[in-house]
Amino acid sequence: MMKRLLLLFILLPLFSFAQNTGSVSGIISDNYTSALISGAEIKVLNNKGGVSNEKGYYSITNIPIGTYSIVVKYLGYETQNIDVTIIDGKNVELNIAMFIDIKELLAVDIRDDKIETHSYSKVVLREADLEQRPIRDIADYMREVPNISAIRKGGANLDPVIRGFKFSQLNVQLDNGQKIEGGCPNRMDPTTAHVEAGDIEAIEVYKGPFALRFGENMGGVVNLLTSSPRPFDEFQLHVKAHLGFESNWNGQRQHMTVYGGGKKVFFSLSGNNAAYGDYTDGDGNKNKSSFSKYGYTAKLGFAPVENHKIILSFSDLYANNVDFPALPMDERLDATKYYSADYSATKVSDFIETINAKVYFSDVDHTMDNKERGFGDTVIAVSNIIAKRFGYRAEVGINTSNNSHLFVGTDMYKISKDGTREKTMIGQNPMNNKVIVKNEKLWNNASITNYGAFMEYRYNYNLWEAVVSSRIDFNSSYSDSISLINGNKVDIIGTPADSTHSSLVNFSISAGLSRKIGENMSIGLSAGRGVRSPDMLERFIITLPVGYDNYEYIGNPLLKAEVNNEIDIIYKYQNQTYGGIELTAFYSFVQNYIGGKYVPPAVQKPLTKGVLGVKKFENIGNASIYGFELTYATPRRYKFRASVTAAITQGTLGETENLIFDANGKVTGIETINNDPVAEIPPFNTNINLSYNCMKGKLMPSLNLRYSGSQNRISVSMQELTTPDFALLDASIKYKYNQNLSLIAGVNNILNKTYYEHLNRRILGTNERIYEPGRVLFVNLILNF
Amino acid sequence: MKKLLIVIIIVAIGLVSCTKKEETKVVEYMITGLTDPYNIVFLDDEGNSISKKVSPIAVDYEWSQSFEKGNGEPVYLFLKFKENIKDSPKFSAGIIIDGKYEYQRRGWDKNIGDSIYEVKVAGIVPIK
Repeated sequence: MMKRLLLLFILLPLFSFAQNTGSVSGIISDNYTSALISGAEIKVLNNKGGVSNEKGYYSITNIPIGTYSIVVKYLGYETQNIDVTIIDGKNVELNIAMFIDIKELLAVDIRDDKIETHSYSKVVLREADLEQRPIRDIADYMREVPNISAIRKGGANLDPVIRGFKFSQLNVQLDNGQKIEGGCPNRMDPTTAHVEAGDIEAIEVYKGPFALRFGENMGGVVNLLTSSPRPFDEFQLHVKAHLGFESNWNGQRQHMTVYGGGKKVFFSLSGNNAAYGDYTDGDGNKNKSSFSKYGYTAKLGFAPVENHKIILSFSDLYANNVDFPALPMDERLDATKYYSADYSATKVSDFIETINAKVYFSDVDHTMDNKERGFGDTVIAVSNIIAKRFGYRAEVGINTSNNSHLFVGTDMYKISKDGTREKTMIGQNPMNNKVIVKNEKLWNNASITNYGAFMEYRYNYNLWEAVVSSRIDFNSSYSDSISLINGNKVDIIGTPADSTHSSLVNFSISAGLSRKIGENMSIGLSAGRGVRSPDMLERFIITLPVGYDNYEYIGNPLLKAEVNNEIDIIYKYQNQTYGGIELTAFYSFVQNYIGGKYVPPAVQKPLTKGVLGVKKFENIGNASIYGFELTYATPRRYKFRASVTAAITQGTLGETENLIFDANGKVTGIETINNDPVAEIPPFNTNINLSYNCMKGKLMPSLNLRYSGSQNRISVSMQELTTPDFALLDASIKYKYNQNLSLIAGVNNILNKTYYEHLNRRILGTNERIYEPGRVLFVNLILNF
Repeated sequence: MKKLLIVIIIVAIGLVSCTKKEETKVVEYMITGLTDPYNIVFLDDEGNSISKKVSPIAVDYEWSQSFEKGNGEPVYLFLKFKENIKDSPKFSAGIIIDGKYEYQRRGWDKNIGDSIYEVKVAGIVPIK
């Protein structure tokens, strides 16, 4: 069966259909000055497009009839996507007004290897949007997007959650394929924490298990695109600086990029520095949230011949003294280095449209300790973990016909992790005239290797668009012995020392079909099966409290892969007068859901003080996750703009174990419960944004109102806590003096509300949650020369 | 010229922002008020356990040892002695960091058989 399916996908591109054609033409001009724009790039199909002449005129002929999304790009302006219907033998006149975009003036790499699709739910956050907010953390900012939330354990390094999927269920990556393996078992340093927010040019979010070109994907892909150097016709040198201040945290950050070069050699060098203190919540209570970060990134590009480019990149980033009140430790030092070499080629031949190849390596040296905790005077615990990841990705984009495109490629990664925890027992007397020091392994030379092959085929015919994607992964893992022999000489991991090997073969597949309905509407249906292998923590961690609940967890090398079977329905409506609306509904059936199963104290007693017991990672059964997202926005050409978003997700576990406690908190029994909600899923959330574009785009005040419903649908088995509802009001104003200087100032949480998000963890040892900041005044200054 | 000036200002802001903070402090272990010989164990600047027998040479003898230690490093001083410090109100075992007593004990922790006393002072070099 599987072979037949594979054959079908390989043969699909060979089908083609005879069509009639039409054309599109028009004038491209500046929205504010009405100046004609020459040299703008217009693209209809992947291999159909043109460039506007000195009078701003463009014309594209011989386009097969159908409805297309035309992409118009010009340096210094926002990229526009405009839907147009091509009629047999007729010319469609389409005049396009372009909006100035600061980010496009920077080192922008036109990423034309991705063709837009109506079949998947995709969100793009641009640098121009990021600059509107006080961006100290990438995942914090992503919480703006409907159905994206983030787990907060401290002031920084939030961990994104998309539609209830989190951690390794998400594929979070950098620049189309590079991944960074964090060191911390408690995810103090998720991938988003290893990327400097100031380097971000755009964030692409593909929800669901449908996009399979970028590695194993179960719950969604987050692609962090950093600014990349580009060639100039003549040698040029530019500087961009971003200075930010936030009152509540007494936080300040600086980010500067020097970039330039010539036609064949070009570069960018950026440096960043941020120092934030503790913030106060709405009641004036101080929350431990301080951190400092600094580092630099250097990129060097070569364009030896036209349409071929090589970019070498190196980043050296540090984080110091990052407070995590929800965890037993704070991050003392994180030293991250990552390297990558990218080769890209476009328009290689009539058959091959693109070639993209990447090789990368990351090295994270993560140190955390309990030195600033109350119990630090009895035991000083310092953990150091070295996490390395090497990988590559190579992909070829093929024009299979006028209206179809095929991507085929391969990727690979190898993760290795090793770490120890050193405990200096300063609360105890010396033994044999030596201060007692104990060393415990967290990971023991563990490694995971994955080889993948993927394809994605896109086909447009008339009003229809079809996308089929599949990938196969060969995943193997190994660790030196993680046996833990208890007092009864029983191995609590339950596997012999030489059985830490595990091998999995995962097959993922997705298909999407969308159809234009009339001029303005489209409806899409996607179905996918995304498979992900268990991660390093779930397989090999050696006793540590790493879950939401207060238990010590131990790894399980014999876990099965987790599978997400998801179906999405997407409805889009776009009207030049009334704006656009997008409604998505989704349902996921997750198999082999990975969670914790209780290990009785007779088998293993916890090693950490204060935890309730020990759990072992297991495939605990199946889960259902479902919800919807709604987005509405007025047309961008209006001076007064409004947008509304709303989203909710719910999740239920089929069958799970629940522990019964006595009054002293001792486990007295285990019961099986059905339909327990999946933990850490945010409640209903809605956002209304109003802005007014005045003085020809120089001044833009905006107001944002957000309401988050209460969350009473909580996991019983994970002892989750309920969260009350709250409403927030933010305001900001952007003043763009000229192309070189912009100032953005605003106040977040104007009403100084005392509140916490549902995904804010509790402060360690209490049932009190980490509160969000109270009123914050922020100022961003952006200089660009 | 104007452009160059602005670039210089931006670069200067960047450099000022990257000013390095002090990452070490001066740690001093100090014991006063004992006149009879006693045994000590302490952690040195490299984190090694050092054991020593101290023999006071005068009534007001102060034993001290100082060195630089990184922020967050553990500091540890342990004493074992036979002298009854009830009769010595000057007794103090402490850890001074950057000139200020950060940890100090003025009495014993443990009294073994009314004849051997133990005192332990420990903590970390403050991080911030």
